Amino acid sequence: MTGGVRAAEPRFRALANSAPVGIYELDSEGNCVYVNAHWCELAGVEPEAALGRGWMNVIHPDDLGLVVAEWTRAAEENRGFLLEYRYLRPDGEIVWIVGRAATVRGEDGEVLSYLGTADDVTARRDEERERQALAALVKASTDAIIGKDLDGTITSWNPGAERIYGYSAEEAIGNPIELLVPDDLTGELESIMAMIRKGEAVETGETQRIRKDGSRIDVSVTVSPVRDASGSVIGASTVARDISKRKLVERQLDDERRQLAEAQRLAKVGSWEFEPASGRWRWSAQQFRNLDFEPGGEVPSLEAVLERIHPDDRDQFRQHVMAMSREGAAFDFVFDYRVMVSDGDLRTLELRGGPAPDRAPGQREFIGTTRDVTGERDAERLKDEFFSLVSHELRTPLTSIIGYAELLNELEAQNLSEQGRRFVEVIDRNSRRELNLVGDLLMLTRISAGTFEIEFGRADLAEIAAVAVESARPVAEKGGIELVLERPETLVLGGDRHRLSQVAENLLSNAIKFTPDGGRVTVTVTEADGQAVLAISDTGIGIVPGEAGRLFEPMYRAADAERHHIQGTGLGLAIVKAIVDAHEGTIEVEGEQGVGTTFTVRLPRREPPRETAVND
Amino acid sequence: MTEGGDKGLVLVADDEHDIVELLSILLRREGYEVLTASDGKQALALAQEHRPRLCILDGTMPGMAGFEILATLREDERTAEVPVLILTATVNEEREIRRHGVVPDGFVQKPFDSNNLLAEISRLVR
Repeated sequence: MTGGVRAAEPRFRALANSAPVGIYELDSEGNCVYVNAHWCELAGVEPEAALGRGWMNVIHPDDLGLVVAEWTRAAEENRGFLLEYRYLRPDGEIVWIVGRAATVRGEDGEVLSYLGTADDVTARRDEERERQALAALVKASTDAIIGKDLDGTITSWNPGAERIYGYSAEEAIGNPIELLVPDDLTGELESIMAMIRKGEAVETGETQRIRKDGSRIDVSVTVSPVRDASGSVIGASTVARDISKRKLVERQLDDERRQLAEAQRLAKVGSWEFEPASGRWRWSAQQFRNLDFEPGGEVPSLEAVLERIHPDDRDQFRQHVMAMSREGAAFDFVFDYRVMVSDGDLRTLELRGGPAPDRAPGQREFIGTTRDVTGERDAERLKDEFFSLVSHELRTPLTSIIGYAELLNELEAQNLSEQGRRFVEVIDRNSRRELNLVGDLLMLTRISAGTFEIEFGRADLAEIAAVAVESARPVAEKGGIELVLERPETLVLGGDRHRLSQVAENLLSNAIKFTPDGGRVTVTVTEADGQAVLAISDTGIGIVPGEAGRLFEPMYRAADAERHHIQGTGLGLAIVKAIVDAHEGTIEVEGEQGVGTTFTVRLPRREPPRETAVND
Repeated sequence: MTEGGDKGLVLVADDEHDIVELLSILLRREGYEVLTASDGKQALALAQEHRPRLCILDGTMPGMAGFEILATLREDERTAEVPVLILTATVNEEREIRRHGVVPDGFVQKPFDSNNLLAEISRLVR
């Protein structure tokens, strides 16, 4: 062996040994004959271990093929070897190196040896990878990430910025950052830049920026200073997040909240929620106002609430709160209670409540409303009082009219002429008609006040129908109307005999009234599906389509009744309906204009109470 | 002010003179002796003085309504047993009964059918 590092002069040898790069020499056969100290440091082995074929053991097994291939190619192409590959040190650490090698040739061109270097590039590679990862992160971010220098000129622009602001990187870079700032917010920008120059980061919280199309967008912005290696601030990086969706949802929620509060205030409806487990209440603002408390703040204690409530109504209120607190309680309720308000008046509130849909499994809550019904209740009371008064004032003179007409008929009949007796009969008939009217009004008052009750007893629907038909016969015959009755022997049920007679009489007189001369009215009593059925059909004027549902409303008059000048008050069917309802029955009407009408009453066949002996 | 037959004394009190007269005619025809009053205070005084077989009182007289007279009569052991029939043109007899806490022996609504009224009267004086 001649030449090479080994044989080099001592000065060159010293240089090789102290160089900050790994140096090795292979003979023409590929056997290592020299490694310097730095190479040993890189490879993590003693110099002896590298000699001969030992150097190959240091190359990462996965890269050995690459190294051999490049070596061969370099030799073929008569150029230097150059490759980035890995050493796998005996301690397991991987070192990235850039290896270079050159062929040392003799005067005749024969290969004397190979001289190679190994540069450690691990640190550079790590940095590169990190930089790529960061760049990918910036690129992938949905936030706008923008670089700018201290003058506010945009220096970088990621796809997020493109998406949020609408400018491409080409359009944005080189422009001043003012491009994005609304005129009314330039002050904000100036203070941001001032902070950045001082080296401080800034968070704007919620603010607005201008997009390329001129529209405003809600963003939250964080600006941080960027420093050079010496630590002086050379620019800033801005991260802006699009919060327009969140703001939209917030604004919608806000609108809804305001709308609900305003609707509650106008309708005087407060709402509440009650959590029995903790005994906690949540009240809407109107709930506070309804109970004469200042809205906002803590919900007053139960005791403070009870203090406001009229003493007569406190027990009911307290009992409902206790009932809601009971384990597993779930029920709907509604009741009125009165609150004593500060001006000394009483306010009537209608409280409604029921179980709330579960917020979370096992979290039981009640939810409800409180409505100020003072005006409504006053109006109802006034209406009832008015009806009572009217009824009383009508009844008093009627008492005398009917009473004296009776006296005249009974005591003075023999002193009257035939015509005089007829006149008395007219007075008697009309005063009784008025009496019936007053009775109907009275009954409607009771129905609307909810005080209408039936006397539950034994009622024979077949007999009731027969009696009604017999008493209607004179009127029917006068109009040449044929009256037909189809009935079983008896059809007994539990009910109010007098009220059911009223039903039959009202329906029958209606049918006759609405049937032209020469027509027919059929009354049928049957039993079907365990129900007692009373059907009254006529060949009268029928009903106008769409009118069926309204016929049972108090004071409603059929359109055709008006047209045919048929008298009536519009009370009869409302009363019939109330009586049928009180028996838990149903009433239906079917009819065709000009053909006829059928009213069908179905009553449940409840067991009549056992007859008790009447002891008079 | 008493006149009429021997079936016993009946006090009739109503502020409507026509009705007092109508009732008087009906009662005398049936053989009752009739005592009349046109307001509540007078009626109470007559009832306490004469302790009639029956008092027929208008429910809503000025001064003292039938129910108040009834309550006063019931509180006094000398008149507690006198039957009282309330005659009324009002609607809410249940409410009146609840308010005064006394139940009359009879209750007839105006206008009345004279046969029904007389039947009720004869039940009460029996």
